[in-house]
Amino acid sequence: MSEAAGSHHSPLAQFEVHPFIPLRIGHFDVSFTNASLWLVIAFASIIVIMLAGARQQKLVPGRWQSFAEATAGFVGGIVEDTAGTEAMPYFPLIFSLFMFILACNMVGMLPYSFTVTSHIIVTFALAACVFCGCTLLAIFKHGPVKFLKFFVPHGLPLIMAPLMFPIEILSYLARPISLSLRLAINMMVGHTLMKVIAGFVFMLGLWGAFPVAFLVVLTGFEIGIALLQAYIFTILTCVYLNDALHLH
Amino acid sequence: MPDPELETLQNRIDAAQSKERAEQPKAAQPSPVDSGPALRLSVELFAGIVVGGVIGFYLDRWLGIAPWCMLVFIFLGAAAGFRNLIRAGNRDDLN
Repeated sequence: MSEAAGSHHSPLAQFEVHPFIPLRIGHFDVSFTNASLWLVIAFASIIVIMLAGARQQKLVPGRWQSFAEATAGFVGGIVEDTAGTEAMPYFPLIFSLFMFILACNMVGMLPYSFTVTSHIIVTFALAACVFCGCTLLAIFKHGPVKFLKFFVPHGLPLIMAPLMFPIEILSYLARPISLSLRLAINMMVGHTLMKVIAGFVFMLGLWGAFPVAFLVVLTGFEIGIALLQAYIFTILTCVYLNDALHLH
Repeated sequence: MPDPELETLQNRIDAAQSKERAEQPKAAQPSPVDSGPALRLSVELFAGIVVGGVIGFYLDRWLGIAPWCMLVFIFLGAAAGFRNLIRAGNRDDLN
């Protein structure tokens, strides 16, 4: 019993990628998987919600319009507060990033769904785009010499410079790793915990009512985490953008 | 579209907003980031060590001096992780 249960109802089975439509281009496996399906659903939900919000623009907004306006205002506030008004040209990018992560996290909260953002490769791709974009922006805006000076902190004794320079470079390179790991680990831990506790429900029989009650609380908590992680990813992107724009 | 009724409404909204803003100081509102600093900050430390370890591993492979680059870079990476940790802590205080 335990073997069959272990292979089919493992708390980690939810993260497995299954191909729906096997496809191959050259040496690359480009199958349409369950991950692709939920990426498409997340993407479609953003488009539907945002187009519904932008369809008829009234002075007194309806539900859809006020949702679209509130999220845009919220992200705009983050960008302006952390990176300044010079960063406002990058608002569309950051808003798309926020909406995409939020939609992936939220769609992952549906039963039987697949949480795309629990996979490190997805979040790392997002973080790598942010990292490469900010680095190129800093180099083109300030020139390579000034960019390298960014890695030598102000007021540093000259003897310490050979030690601090590699440390600063490593801490800069650690940014995309921590940005992607934070989101992926938070989503993975939450969903695994929910599945583990859901497993207790059947094991405990009648006493399973207690884990069910706990699951209700945990689901609300997970929705909070989904919102918070999208917010943290966005605010850290703005912090990195601020560093790239101002290089102090 | 210059609508006098809308204009007076806008003026009233502006007046009400500026009054509200004056009443409550901005620093009083807590940021939602406050709720989970522990996991957020531990990731910074981990990321530093991972980056140092990976760079050291491939430098070793390239230069063929087995454990030395990795040893040095793991410690440098840990230092970088602490540097990011301190930075993140300071940032939270500022927000």
